[in-house]
Amino acid sequence: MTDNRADEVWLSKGEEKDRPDGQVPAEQEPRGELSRYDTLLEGVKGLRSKKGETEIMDSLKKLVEQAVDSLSENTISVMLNLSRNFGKEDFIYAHSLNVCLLSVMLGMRRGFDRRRLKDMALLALTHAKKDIGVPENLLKWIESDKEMDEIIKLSDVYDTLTHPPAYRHKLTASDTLVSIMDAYGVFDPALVKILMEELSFYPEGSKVELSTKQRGTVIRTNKGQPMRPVVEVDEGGQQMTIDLSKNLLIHITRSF
Amino acid sequence: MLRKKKKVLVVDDDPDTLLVYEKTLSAAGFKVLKAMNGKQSLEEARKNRPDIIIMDIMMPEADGISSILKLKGDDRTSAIPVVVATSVEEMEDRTVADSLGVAGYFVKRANMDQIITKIEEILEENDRQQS
Repeated sequence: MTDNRADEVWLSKGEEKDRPDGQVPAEQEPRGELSRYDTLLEGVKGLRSKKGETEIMDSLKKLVEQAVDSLSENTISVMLNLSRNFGKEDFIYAHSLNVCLLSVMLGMRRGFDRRRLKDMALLALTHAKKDIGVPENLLKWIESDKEMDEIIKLSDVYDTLTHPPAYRHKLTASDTLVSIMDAYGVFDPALVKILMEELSFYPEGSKVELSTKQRGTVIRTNKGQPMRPVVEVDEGGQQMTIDLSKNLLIHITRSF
Repeated sequence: MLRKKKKVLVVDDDPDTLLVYEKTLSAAGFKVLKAMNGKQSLEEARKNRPDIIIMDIMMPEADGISSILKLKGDDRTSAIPVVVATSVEEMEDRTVADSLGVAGYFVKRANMDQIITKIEEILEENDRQQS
């Protein structure tokens, strides 16, 4: 039983085969990738049941391979899962996975080779070592560097602010990015720029108010335009879609 | 032990807790500045330049971590040591606070003498680093 979870991670790769030429309508992408994210999450949660350092190390390496593969194949839909909320029992596992995925995304944009990406992904995934069942000294053989440390720090702060423990106030994605931008000098500005380009200020599902005073829900993000997603509003009982990347006279005034 | 009156900025949304800090820290020879939320703490820190800040991590209005980010990102306040006060033993977001350069932690229900000792240790260490 203890080995099955890691095997499931690899089996999930087969899900892609049924897609016709990889042509999937944009609105269906999250559904497929959600299960991939969930499979990764199950793998992280399964680390606690592993016996011995060799078995934990083996599972970690498989998880990291899968995380790097997932992001290489479809960055946007994997990243959509970062705005999901989790209960207390899953909190630390989801946080560890999110920090890993964010770090790999930033590393990819910085041109890391696959070996360096995987080393950093291991460090990011296990940054809260004992909380997810990884022994303190298991990864001491990895040579971290300043750039990796900066990437993991930024990813950790972003995910902590958007997914706080129960005792802290939750910030919206837009407030979090503003907080990070405010902290001039704390983070590498080039990394912050990438984070803003890759993550929407208003992820799917965000409740927002427009400059027209209409309130609605973000149903799709526009890559490269983090402050101008597609919003669905209720207009006298009728659902209306406004693409803010095309309708430049309207903007978001706040989110909830 | 400390040559001149050091300024401690205490940030907490609970007025009773602020009062306890004020009385105890004043009696211990500190000048106490107070703020009830993150926004006030930034204004107070920029205006009065405290020697140390005690920040409640669980305030409802402005999140403590984002307030620390703002303090660390401002040249006027970035060098001020921040101590995190929390009501829970296990701080799940401790790695973040660590990476932002938080100087220390204490659980709010800790003995006030222990808290004062911690503050003095941090201030002395800070003085050593600056001299």
